[in-house]
Amino acid sequence: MKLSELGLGLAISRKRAESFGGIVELRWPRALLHVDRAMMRRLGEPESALWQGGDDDAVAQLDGPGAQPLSGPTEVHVVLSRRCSAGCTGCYVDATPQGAALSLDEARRILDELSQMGVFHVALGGGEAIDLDYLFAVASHATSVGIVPNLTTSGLGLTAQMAERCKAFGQINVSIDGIGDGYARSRGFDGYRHAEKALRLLRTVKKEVGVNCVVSRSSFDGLGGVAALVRELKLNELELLRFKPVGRGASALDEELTLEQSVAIYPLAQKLMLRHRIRVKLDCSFAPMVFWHQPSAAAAAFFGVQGCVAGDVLAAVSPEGQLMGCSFAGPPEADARVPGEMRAHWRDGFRDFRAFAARAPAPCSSCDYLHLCRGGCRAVSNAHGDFHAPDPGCPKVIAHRAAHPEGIVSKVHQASPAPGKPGGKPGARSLPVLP
Amino acid sequence: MKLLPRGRVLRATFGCNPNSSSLGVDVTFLLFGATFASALALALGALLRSPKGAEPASTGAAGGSTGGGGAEGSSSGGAGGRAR
Repeated sequence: MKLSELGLGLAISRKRAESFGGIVELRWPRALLHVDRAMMRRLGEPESALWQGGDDDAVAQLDGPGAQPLSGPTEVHVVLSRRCSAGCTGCYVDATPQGAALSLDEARRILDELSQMGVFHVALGGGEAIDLDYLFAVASHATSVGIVPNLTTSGLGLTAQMAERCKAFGQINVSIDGIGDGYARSRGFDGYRHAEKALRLLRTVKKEVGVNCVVSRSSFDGLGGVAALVRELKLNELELLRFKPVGRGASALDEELTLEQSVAIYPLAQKLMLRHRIRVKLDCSFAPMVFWHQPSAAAAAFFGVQGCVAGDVLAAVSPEGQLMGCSFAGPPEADARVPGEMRAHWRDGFRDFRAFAARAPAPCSSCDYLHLCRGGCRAVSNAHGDFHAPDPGCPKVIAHRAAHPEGIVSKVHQASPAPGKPGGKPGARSLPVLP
Repeated sequence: MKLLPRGRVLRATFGCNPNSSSLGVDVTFLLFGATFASALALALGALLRSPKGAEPASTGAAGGSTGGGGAEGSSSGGAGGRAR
């Protein structure tokens, strides 16, 4: 008897071919599954031109030295605007009340092309996206072309009527970097009351509501309070995002985590998860801090625990229409507003991101997790002066630097300047070497 | 009738990401380790082979070889026609 005859089975909403097989999007539970070619064939997928070479060889390369980038990103961060009146001190897009923004027509055209590229999710943000009067039209268009729209907001200005319309989104997270006064200390303005109200409004209309918390040196000690809030409001996740010194935060290198905090973040995330019985996620830039604790590589690979996936799993579109590997760093690869440009540049672009593992300097070159971690966060490396260097916040890199005080020079940095904005500042100071 | 190989689930990521950075670590799942991952892969594989509802169209992302295009790609011209 088939499982489907028992009422069991998974509802598939979309799928696309990849060199190893394909990616299947589930409607419930909401998930993306990487499957091999045999599974794709069972699901009715015709033979793909991407399926070159042996089936098993392709699977073996999924996270190995011969790994190829995906045929298109699975998720794209569409930075709709640099408009926001909050004025957060660490805003990575340097948002202002009069900042640049994509028009509705531009956003629609970009979503059309992302759909053609097989993108499954977009993260809409900014700036403060809910300040845009066309936000819900963008979300509606994304849904109409088969892409799940997701949203990050500060919650400022969110009304009950707007919350009701937010049913259009998949996941909505409200940014809260601390509770009460801790919020103001971390972000430089007092918006906690608005953020908590927004969470309560959103939670009344949907379950997929969570908190984004930027983890900086000063917000670290308040993470327990934020986790307690997530539990109290019955939110579905707490996402911990590493502070990255870009945008207005570029000069705040002293807000980066200390070595002790970097080592402690993964055990702390586990502790918060167990104590509050909430789902806790860490963003890609925390990968070096997780791999420092030597988790199962097989489990990490299966659950997609990876470091920098810019130009592979992830891409970003800026309010000026530039396609980039990541919202925080990297050179513009194409003008996303020009039809066909994103697809045309995906295959051979993003070399600065994609080439790291093949050219990794020590200590990454000898790290067992290199092909998962991919050298940590390129944006943080870039902010410290060398896009191609190992992540300076990685405990292993810090230990290596302590043992080799002559420093780490990336192989690429000797031949070419650090690409793109932001950062790449000659002479930017490195993270202090701690014993 | 020719029997098809069973097929495997190689990776699973759950939920949606509303963030500017990609989600690196779902602590909830990583905590349980490789044994749990293997068991989950088997379970998902079995369930995937028994899909509910109508067969979905391909997105047309990967070189047009799927011949799909699907509802998602229909709004502006279909598949990309590119192989890697």
